Amino acid sequence: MTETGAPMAGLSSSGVAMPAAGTEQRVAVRLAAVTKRFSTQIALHPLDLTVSEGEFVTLLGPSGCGKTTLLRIIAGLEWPDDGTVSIFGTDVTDRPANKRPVNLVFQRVTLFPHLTVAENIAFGPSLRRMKKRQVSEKVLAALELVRMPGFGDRRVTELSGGQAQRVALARAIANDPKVLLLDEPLSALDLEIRRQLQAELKDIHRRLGLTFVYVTHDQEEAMSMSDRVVVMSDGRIEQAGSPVEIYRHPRSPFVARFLGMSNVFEATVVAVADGWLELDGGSLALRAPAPAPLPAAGGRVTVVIRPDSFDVAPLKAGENAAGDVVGEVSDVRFIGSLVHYLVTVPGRKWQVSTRAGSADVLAEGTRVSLSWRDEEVIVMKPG
Amino acid sequence: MRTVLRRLRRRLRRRGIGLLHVYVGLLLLFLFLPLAVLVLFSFSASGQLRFPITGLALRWYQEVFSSSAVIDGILASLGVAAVTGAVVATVGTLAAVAVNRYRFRGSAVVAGMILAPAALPGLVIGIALLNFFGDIHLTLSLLTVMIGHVIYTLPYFYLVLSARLRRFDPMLEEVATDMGAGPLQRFRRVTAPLIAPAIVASAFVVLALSWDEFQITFFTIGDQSTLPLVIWSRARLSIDPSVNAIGTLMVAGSLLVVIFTRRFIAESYS
Repeated sequence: MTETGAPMAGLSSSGVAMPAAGTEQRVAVRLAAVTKRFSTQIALHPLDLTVSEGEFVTLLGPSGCGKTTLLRIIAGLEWPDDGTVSIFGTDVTDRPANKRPVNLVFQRVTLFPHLTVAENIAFGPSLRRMKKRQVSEKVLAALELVRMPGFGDRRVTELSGGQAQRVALARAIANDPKVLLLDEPLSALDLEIRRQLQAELKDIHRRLGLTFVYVTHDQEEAMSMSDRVVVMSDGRIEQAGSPVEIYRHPRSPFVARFLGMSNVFEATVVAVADGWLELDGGSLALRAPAPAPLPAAGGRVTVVIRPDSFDVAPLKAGENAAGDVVGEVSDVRFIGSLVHYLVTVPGRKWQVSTRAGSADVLAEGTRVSLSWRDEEVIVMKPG
Repeated sequence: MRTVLRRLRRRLRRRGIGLLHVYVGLLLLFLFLPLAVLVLFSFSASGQLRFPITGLALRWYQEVFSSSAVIDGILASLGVAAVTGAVVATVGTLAAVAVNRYRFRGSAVVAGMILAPAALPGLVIGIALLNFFGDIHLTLSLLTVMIGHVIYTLPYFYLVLSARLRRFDPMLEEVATDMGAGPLQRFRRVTAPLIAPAIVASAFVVLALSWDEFQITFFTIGDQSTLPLVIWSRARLSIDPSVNAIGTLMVAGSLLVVIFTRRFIAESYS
């Protein structure tokens, strides 16, 4: 028996103390040049990723982008064709899943149907030589953690979807992983339960100080839960950064679009001055803060204007606002706190979100003037 | 004619009985009437297999249980069935797990060879085995009968268990591995408990098949007779009412197996 991470004393004192201020954070997971092919298709291009101890990292991307494969490679359920995987400094590339100090919570319900809730949670600890009383203490603590005390004797077939995923989470945590991997654990649940569990997961992460690697295709989920979001596409990392960073400064049109910014178009740099770019977007002239590295005058760039960067004002009949873009509301979606408009101007459609507030919701067909805050216009290399 | 039928249908429908009920009723009657007659005559007081029955008695059962040939036959059949069940359960489980859970070269050929005896007439298997045993100078005995029964019942066991394995969620094994279980622990703690009900149920099917197997047994039997052969040799000489009693006993035995199997499956999770 190789040691698969020394069992921690208990859940409360999970032992993964946050590093003291000033000391360098330990690396929990390091992937170096990890590559994966399925027959002829490349699932992962050589890919590097580092996850710090205690971090909540989310791999975000559309289905088929390789995020689940990446997670399964960390778990040891999939073998990389090339590259190395190390966990807390130990190279585990050649270790099978049962000898890695990580645990995975699956997307589907994967509780053992022949065991009770408590027996499911005790599965990991009971594989090791651990005293019965110690195991049952672990089970109780884990049930407490996922807010299901008293459910130990239930059959798993009696549980709802949300309860089942809570138990699956408890089962993984009771196994004392050094890194917890979560593969879209909430995607099969109702919206309300999903929201609730998102909050609880984040709370559990905070309380245990455990390293979480989370996979989802839901950008809202990724943004709201993570310390760091890793956006993936076609087996590559498009961008990694804090939620605010990737939202405010998407580095590629793919990232911008995936985060729900659909106002993406190409433009030519006319002039560069004082940290600002003058841009020619065909029928549209605009200004934007200059990105680094600075594009050359005359070069092509991709421009993104987030839906929430716009102001929209209705026009009276015959009125024309000079200098602004004038268009017509062609679609209205009221979602409570926000109103999403589709504004059509000749040759282009703009997606605009405004705070609903107490202002009137504009009707379809209303003529409006559109303006945006220049400092929020995003410029990137053409994709 | 048509109006008569319509009127009948209407009258039946008023009582909540459709033509389908009638049809199913007739079918069941056709299936089970001969069995009912058999059971009835086994309790007849006279030796005449003819209605009306003149009296009820247990004399045929007494006769059966005082016959050492019948007792020996029952014991031989039970022994053969038990050994066959055990061997088939072991070999069949390993084969079904191997073919259904792992990709290997020639897995389709293996599956085909396991299943082939189900498609062959028992007569052919019996004759083939008889020749084969002669060629390798294996004296015919209950052992050769067991070998025949294993070949004959393996496909049925394999089919039932394969159906269960196809419904088995392979992710459960991944979870077990992820939780730290090695291959052996994984099989012992997850795979085996989950397929155990199916193994037991299919083993009972094997017991039932072996218990009343005749054709293959006929060709591969040595000095000792199994119960079906005892019945056959008695019925051949004369129509002896004690055969009815033996038949009733066999039906009762099969029924018990069926009831037990159903209960067992109902009580276990799927």
